[in-house]
Amino acid sequence: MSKNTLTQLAIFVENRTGRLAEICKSLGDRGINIYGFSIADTEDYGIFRLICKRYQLAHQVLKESGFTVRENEVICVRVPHQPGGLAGVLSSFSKAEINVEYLYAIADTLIIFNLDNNEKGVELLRKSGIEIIRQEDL
Amino acid sequence: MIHRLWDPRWETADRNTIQNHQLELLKEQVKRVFDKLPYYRKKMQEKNISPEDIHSIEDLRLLPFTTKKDFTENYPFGMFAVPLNDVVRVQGSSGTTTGKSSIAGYTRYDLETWANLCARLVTAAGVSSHDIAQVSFGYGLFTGGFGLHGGLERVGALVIPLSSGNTSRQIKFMRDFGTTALISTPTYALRIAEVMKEEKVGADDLSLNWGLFGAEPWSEGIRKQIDNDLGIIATDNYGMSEVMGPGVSYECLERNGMHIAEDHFIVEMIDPETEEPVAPLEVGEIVLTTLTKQAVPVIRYRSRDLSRLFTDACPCGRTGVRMEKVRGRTDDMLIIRGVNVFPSQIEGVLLGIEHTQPHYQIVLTRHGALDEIEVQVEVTEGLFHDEMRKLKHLEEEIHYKLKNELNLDCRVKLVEPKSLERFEGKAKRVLDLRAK
Repeated sequence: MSKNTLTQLAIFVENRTGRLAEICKSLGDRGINIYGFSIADTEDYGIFRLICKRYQLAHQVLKESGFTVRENEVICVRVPHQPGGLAGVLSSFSKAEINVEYLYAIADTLIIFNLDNNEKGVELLRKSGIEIIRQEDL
Repeated sequence: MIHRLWDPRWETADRNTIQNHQLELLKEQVKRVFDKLPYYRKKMQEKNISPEDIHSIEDLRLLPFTTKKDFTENYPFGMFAVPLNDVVRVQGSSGTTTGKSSIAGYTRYDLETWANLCARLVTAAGVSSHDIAQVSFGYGLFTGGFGLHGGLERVGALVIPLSSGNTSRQIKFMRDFGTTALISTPTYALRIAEVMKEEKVGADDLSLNWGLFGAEPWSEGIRKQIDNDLGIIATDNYGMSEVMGPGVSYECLERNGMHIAEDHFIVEMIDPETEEPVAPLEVGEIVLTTLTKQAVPVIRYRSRDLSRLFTDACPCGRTGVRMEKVRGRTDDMLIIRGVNVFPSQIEGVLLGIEHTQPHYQIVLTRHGALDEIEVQVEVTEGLFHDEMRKLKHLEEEIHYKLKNELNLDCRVKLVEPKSLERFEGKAKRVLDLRAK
């Protein structure tokens, strides 16, 4: 059975001109499509998180380009495209006392979540009938 | 643990024998230096001292110091006490800001002494005629390469004179030749371990047993890492071109301090400020007097290296005084907002944090009247996390531990791996951008 989470790549990036461009170019050169990303940044560095279908290849390509890369599992859900859509998902997490570590939107109305308890989160989402996107659905 | 000795007669000599020997040679050496070396005769005359004033080893304290400045001022041959015709080799230290190196000369007898002392060194570190030794020290004026080379040949090891650099090739040779002993700077050993990881070469793919590392101060934490990464027993050794080169002191496999070759050198430990002897077991600057050097005899050379002396017995059977691993150099000492800081302290803190490879750089700047210290640490996969608060937590942990150790607020900056310069010779960990 395929897993209910997506594998996200997180990359450590120094705040230097052209570093993000280098990441995107090295992926683009190998025909790897980026479905979505987010950046958390400080004065000195950032964490570039991205979602690709062929994440294993992407990981290898980035590693070869000298980047520090970390893989971790995140949940991807399709949020109803209507007012209160995201609120509904979030409130069901909070009722179940699951914390959101971070979230970001990728293509369309797909939202990436990293929760402090992803397993419990997936179970909850399935019960609520919210569509969960798998790696192969990308 | 099996301990072997190269020269048991002198390495296990009792205190009386050593001191009588030292006094006899010291008197001769002082007389010769006074007669042959104008720069030192002048120093002695200024202090109103003559060779006849030396009656005991303690009288050594009456004599003036020799410093690196004497070497640069007397560049190139002014430190030679024999005719050039009798000198068969020169070695030297890296140049100073004036562009002048310390030039050391060796007579045939000096080279013989040096090879024998380096034979003691490599024997103490585990090497014998059965070993295949790869010298990854630079060859050239630097004493490390040729010094260890001489000692290794003397004990009958098979020597590969590879010099430093081209790390992939170093690893290939270790594999192809079945190298059992690696001779380099500790920094370069770490670099080799790093490239081995990249090339997926494990310690078990090689035949290394011994690592003989010197030419720069290194911490016990670095030693642990080299031991583990290369699967070897890493020992420290010590020397400087001004008094000979490596072979002045060396660790045995007990690794509890470096045995000083007291039949060839007298060691003193002084307070670098007051120039007075420090109390037993106190940290001080190492001062060395050569007893047997012909070409460049040196009286009371200020090494600028900080260490401590141990006189208790060592299980290996060697009887001489031992010196602790060098903690730093008096001129490595950074004074930041009036606080004395050694790069080795910062290294110790970083090694204490799980997963941190010791790749770091210290950057000093001045803003107005205030010194700023920034410690740049490479973020490896083991340290990296996709959650910002965990990276922030790491920064805070390093900051907190540095503050505890140094009593200073350091700015901690996480940087990408391999963005810091790699060093194949001696490491340059400090970038001082404060206006002089």
